[in-house]
Amino acid sequence: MPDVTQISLDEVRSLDDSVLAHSLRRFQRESSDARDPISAFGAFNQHGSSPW
Amino acid sequence: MADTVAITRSDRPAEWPDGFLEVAALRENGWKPSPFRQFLFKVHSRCNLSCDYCYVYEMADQSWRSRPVTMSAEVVAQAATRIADHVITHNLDEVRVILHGGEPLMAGREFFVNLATTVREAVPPECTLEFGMQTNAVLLDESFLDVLLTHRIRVGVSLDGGRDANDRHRSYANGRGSYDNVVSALRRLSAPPYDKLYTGLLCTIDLENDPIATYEALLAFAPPSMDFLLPHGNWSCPPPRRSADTTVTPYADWLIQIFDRWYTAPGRETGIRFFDEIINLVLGGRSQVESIGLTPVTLVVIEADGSLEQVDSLKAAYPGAPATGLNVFDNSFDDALELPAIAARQIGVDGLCETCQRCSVRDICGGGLYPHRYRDGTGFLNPSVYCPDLLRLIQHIRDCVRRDLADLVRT
Repeated sequence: MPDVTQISLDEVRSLDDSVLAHSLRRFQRESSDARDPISAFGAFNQHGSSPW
Repeated sequence: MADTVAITRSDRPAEWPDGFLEVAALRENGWKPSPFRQFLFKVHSRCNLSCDYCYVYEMADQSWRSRPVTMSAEVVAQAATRIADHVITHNLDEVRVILHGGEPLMAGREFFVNLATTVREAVPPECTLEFGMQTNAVLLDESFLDVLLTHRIRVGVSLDGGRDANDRHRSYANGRGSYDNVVSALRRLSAPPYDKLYTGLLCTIDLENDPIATYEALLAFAPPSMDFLLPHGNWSCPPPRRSADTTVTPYADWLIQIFDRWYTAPGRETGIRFFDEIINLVLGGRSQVESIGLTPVTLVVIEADGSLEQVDSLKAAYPGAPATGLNVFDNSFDDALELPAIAARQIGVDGLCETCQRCSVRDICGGGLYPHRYRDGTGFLNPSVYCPDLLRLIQHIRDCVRRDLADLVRT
């Protein structure tokens, strides 16, 4: 698998609004918020039968 | 309605993890439980629809029959106190309260006002508190939406696609479909000022429906996100068309059609949770949902009578499967963290069977949704009954992401 760290933050920000660009932005945010892996939840809860 | 005989946990032979997984031994080896951060309130134990696949009413566990219809104010107040204690004990900076049922809107407007007010007053102000709800939406009129807006309770709606797809399973007891009522509610929810409450759509997969038509029918309601749920089933009670032939992957085939349509769209049309989570895991990130990945599950369920339960979808496994024997009046949430059944979903790789431990996509799949691993006799120490589908779907998504990353790095 390619090393994603080869892609700079500026490069990711400049990507178009594709699924991959969105995913890379999320991954970068998550990586920068490593203080507590459990508390770094974004838009969802864990419950499979609830989508928010 | 036929009488049922409840089979309690104590009547059953020990199955993994109960009687096998020792929390004390885990602690001695350095493991620490993760505090709960998500509290799912079963606020109403009845529903105004009669969906034929519902895990609450149509599957193994029938405990809803003996529950109070609506969660009492006393249970709400005691649960709020326990949440506050848990926040203080573990110095939590964010917790989420999820309102669920049955159909939660049947609890009524005043119930929602009281619950939101009670929990907000109990939880220390330093802790961010978020509310969300999953509903069938048929009671979601403007007066209810005003209450939800005032109390900042976000809303997810269940919808299975277009009219025919939805009404095949999601109907009233008299057989009338729910589609028209849900559509009316979605039009209100997706328009200002209520659109800020709108979190997305949940769709249970029916292989009889065309996947692209289903996706596009949901997309028409402009959901911020959506998700496609695998029908509940397990090794002892397999899902529809999930055969023992591991070369057959009907659910992966169905989902891959949607993935390719979504992933290759000119722009991002919406979030699809299951796919977003798999991509994030492929990139080396963490999952945020219990159905995929190895992130410790920090969700606990509070039933209408105050009982504490594991994840409610375990009701699909066997009678009493979600039970813990604990309740908010006699027990703290820390007590629940000492249970093998809770620990089993927090210990990552160590909670997987040997087949999963050897698998090449182990850390992405994480064994799939816990209830889907159940087999009578061996409990939850099995691969998911959807193992072939999960493997094929993950490999497909991983290949797409790898290919695009390689192109990106080269350019």
